[in-house]
Formats: sequence, C-alpha cells, structure tokens
Amino acid sequence: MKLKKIMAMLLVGATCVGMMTGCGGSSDNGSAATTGSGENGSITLIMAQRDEFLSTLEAAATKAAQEQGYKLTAQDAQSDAQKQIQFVETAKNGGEDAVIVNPVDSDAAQSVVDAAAGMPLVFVNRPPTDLHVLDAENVAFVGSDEDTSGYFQGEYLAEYFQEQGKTEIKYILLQGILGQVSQIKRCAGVLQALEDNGITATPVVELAAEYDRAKAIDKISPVLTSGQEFDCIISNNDAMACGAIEACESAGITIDFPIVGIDCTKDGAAAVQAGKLAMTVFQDPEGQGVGAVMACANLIDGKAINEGTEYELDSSGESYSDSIIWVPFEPVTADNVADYI
Amino acid sequence: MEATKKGFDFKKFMSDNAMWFVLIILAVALTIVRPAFLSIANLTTLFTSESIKGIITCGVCWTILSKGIDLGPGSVAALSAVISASFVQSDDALSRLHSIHLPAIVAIVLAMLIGAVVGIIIGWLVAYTHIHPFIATLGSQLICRALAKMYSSAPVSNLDEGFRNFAIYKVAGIPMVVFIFLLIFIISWFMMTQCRFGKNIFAIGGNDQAARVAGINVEKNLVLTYMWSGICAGLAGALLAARTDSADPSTNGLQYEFDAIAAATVGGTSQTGGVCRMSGVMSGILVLGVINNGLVLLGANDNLTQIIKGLIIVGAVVVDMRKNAKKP
Repeated sequence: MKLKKIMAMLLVGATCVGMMTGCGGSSDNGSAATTGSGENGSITLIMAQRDEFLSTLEAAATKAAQEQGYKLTAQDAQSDAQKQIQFVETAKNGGEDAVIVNPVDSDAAQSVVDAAAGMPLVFVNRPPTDLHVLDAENVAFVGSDEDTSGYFQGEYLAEYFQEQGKTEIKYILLQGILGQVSQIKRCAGVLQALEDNGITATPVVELAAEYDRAKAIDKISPVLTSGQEFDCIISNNDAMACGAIEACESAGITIDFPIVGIDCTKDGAAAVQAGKLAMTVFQDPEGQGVGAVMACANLIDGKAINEGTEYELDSSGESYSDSIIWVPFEPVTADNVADYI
Repeated sequence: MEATKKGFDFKKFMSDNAMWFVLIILAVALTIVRPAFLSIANLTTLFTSESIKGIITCGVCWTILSKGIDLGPGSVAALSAVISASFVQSDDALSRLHSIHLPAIVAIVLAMLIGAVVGIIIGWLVAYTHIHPFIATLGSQLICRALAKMYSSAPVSNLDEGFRNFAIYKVAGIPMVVFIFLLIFIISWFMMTQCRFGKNIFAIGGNDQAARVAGINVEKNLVLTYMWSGICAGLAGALLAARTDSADPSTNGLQYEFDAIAAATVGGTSQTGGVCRMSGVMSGILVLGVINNGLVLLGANDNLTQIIKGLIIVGAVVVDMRKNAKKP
C-alpha cells in the first residue's frame, strides 16, 4: 500500500511539473501568457477558445498591447461561460485596468458586464445578442457584423447566376455548429441576399459539418456520388468549403459550379487562387484584435473608442452606437485574392 | 467467449448477429427509397467515410473488452495528425511549421509511435495505479488536444502527394484508407481470436482476479491493450490528415472516440467487459455508417441523425444487457 501511495504522489508531482513546463515553454500559446511592459497599465484578454481565427486575433491583440505600452495577460475560457465570468472577476479583484472579452455565450453578455462592475470592458469578435448591454458605462464592442458575411456570399452567387440567366437554383449548404450565432446569421445572410436579388434558391440538402474539413467530406460525399443535381455549394467557413473541394476531386467531379466560403484562411485563399473556391469573405482577425486593444486604451483614457484607428463607429444612431466599432468584412475573389496572401 | 462448436444453435446465431440483420433491413429500406444508395460509388463513399473511425474502433473495442474504456483516441489522432503532417508539408506550402522533411512512411510510423507512447502511459496508469480508465483516458483526451494546439495553432496543410496517397490513392476505384482499415481490422481479429494476447484480454475483462489466479500477467496485458488503442488512434490521425490534406488541431478527430465507442457497443461489445466479437464490431461500424450516409441521402435534418444514432446506441445496450443477463 505504501508503495502505491508513493507512486501516486510521484505521479501527481510529475503531472504538475509537466503542466508547468508546458506553460513556460510556450509564451505565446500557454493558458495565461503575459506580455508587454505595462507602463500604461495592464489588460486581461479572455478568449472564448483558441481556434485558428481566434489565435490570430489574440496574437494581433498581444502585439498591439505591447506597442501601446500595456501589459496584456491572455486567458482561455475553453468555451465555458462560467469560467469566463470567473476570469473577469479575478481580473477585477486583481486590479487590472481593463478586460477584453471574446464572449463564449453572446446571450450571457450582461453577466460579464455585471462581473466587470464599471471596469473598462471591450467585447471582441462576437457581439452581445442584446446590443443594449453596451449602453452601460465603459463597455464597448469591436467586431464584424455577421449579417454581412453571408450576404456577400449571396450577392456573389446572385451575380454569377444572373449572368447565366438563371433565376432558380439548387444549393448544397454546409453549416457550422448548429445553433451558434455565426452559423444562424451566415445561413440567413446568404439566403436573404439571394432572395433580395430575385433568385429563388431551394436546398438539395443542408448538412451540419461543425466547421470541420473531414466532417464536410464525409457528409457531402454521399450527395455528390448519388448524382443529385445542384448549382452551387455554400459553406459557412473555408475549412468545410475546402472539404467540399476535396470530396469533389475524390469523386472525380469537375468543379464547374461555384463553391463559396467565409474566413479567408490561408487554405481558403490558396483555393481561391487555384480557381477551386469561387469566393470567400475575409474577416479581419488582426483588425479586430488591434481594434479591441485601441478601444480598451481609449476607454481607460476616456476618449472616443475609435480614436487612433481607421474604423468607424456604428452608424445606426442607436443609444449604443458610440460603443461599437465595426471592422468590415471584405469579399475575396480571384480578382483581389493576391492582397490576402 | 466463443461458443463451443456443437450443433447449430439458431437462436444464438440470430442474437449474435442481430446487428447484421438490422444492417440488411436498413440497406434494403434505403435502397427502395433511394436506389442511389446501393450504387458502387455510394458504397465506396460509405466505406471511405467510416474507415478512419473504423480504425479507431478496432482499438477502442479492445479497451472495452478489457472492462475499460478509451476516451482519448480523438485527441490522440489530432496530436499525431498535426505532428506527422508537419513533417510532410510540401516545399511550396504557404506556412511551414518547420523545414524538417521526412519520407511519408516515416511520418505514418511516427504517428503510430506517438499513439503507442500515449497508450503505454495510459495503460500503465490504469494497470498499476488502478485509477478508473474513464478518468485516465479523460486526462489523455484533454492533454493530447492541448498538446496538439500548442504544437500548431493553425491547420497544417499542403501535404506531400506521397503522404496523401496513403489515404487517397485508389486501387480499383477504392481509396487506400479502406484497405488500411481492413488490414487493421484483420490484425485486430487475428489477435483477438488466434493469439494468446486476445484470450488473455477476454479473461481479464471477464474477471481480472480469476485471470490473475490463472497466471495471466494482468498489468502487462492492460498496458498492451491501451498501447494498441493508441497505435490505432495515431494511425487514424495520420490518415485523417492525409485524406483531408490538412491537420487541424482544434477540430480533427473531435468526438471520434464517442463514435468509436458507439460502434463497438452497437456491435455487441459489452460495457461489463469480456464480451466482444470483431464481426459484431464491423456490423456496428457499418450500421452507424449506413445511418450517417442514408440520412444524408434522404436529406434529413442533422439533428435527426443524432437522435436516431442515440436511440440505436441505447437500444443496442438494452438488448445486450438482456442477452447477457440470461447467462448463468
């Protein structure tokens, strides 16, 4: 028994050491990385999770904070809204000057505001579902309007089919994680744009592939090989669009129809350049990251939140308009893809 | 355990192969509604789609047989995928993680080694510290996923043709990944039915105290079981990267372990340990594959797919419990 206890202790020890070396060895990737001199103050950045896009955003924010003379501590809430609120409270109690929050749950934004209790707070990337949350003192949002990303896809497709003289099309839709704000808005946006431009679009099938390339291949392959007719493939992100391309090539289908994605990842841009992906929509992770840090600095200094940035405030004239910076989406096609590589 | 071969027990044959009948019924029904289902092209697609999960299932069923579980494979696959992929990126790839280049086969072996190492550690924990495999492998799931993300925050893409061919090269119209799956399946079947190792695991899963008394080295065999599961997961990861031309640390293999556990369970592998037949496991893999494939062909809502899968898994376990409860 004694031996077992010693073994257990050793194991616990080894695990702890492992964790520590893990953190120390990766200053830009660890769970709580701190950078910057901190002469102007300190900011905590709380990410919802760390995928490719959000990691790029985080890296840009970290760099911007360093340049602005802020000490930035980055945390990963691992898609747990509860943990996120805890991080906000810890930052508040720890005397941080401001927090940037990439919300896990857009509906729970009010509880994040409550936790910050007056401390300057900037939401980034995912907007609060109820924008009136931003009416509170010292609260701002920096991000892109998801309504427009899908809309760009729809406009591109509408133009493409109008040139062919088609007004009725059949589409295959690759959806992200069902029920997430980005999935809902991207799907709604693309269909809205098609409708607005006089195109009647009917689904062949709507598949949920959770933003994953492999899942997209698995889901779309049966549709492709069974020979159902369709005019285009609409994807909620580039990874799934690349999966669709992969599946077409594997099934021996020539891509003579448009496939559209969103995000403009490296792979997505390369696919546009190769002529396999018709278009994608660039969401600017670096712009959002830098914008969030600038908004934070401006809140601390009591200036207009977009001062020192190239971005406009929200123009809808609502009570919260002064608290929103929209970083625009940009449609990317073969014509302008070179700018994004 | 395998029945003695005296006479033909029709009832037992039916109950042992219930899932094959379910499979045939499903296939016939689908073919009537959607004739495209039975086309060679679609069946190839079905097998290709299930191959990678199938390889993981071939490993996971062993851990369930030993009265354990493995929740790690999806994450282990992601870890081995990003690491092996990073060694076979083409020279013209947009973002290369490092410039070290390895031959394709070495990268595949490396992926299996990574899986083996994780498996040995987990097996050692389970065998010697007696922590529940659920907890040990939950740990490996979290740690391997995090390690994969630390290794690369972005997908590792633009992989060598030679590496990709391990998954996509077609022989007689069938992608390589299907043959590798069948090879792993046969190895798994051979070990389970023809080797001492297989018999030992049946004994350990049935009653580890009795196995120990019978002179079986329980600890060593458990380590080997988790090592095998790890090797399968590692190989699956490399093939996943090869098939998709991209290894994404955050989405690769996500929840594949649950699909694998589901397939093994539907295939009659008992959670109480000591009961598993590879032919049953294959039927489980195919039933879930037919559901995935068929519901897409029918244009069904994705949430419906999940509900049907859930019902089948729970139903299979209920049937399994009743069957095993009747045994003296």
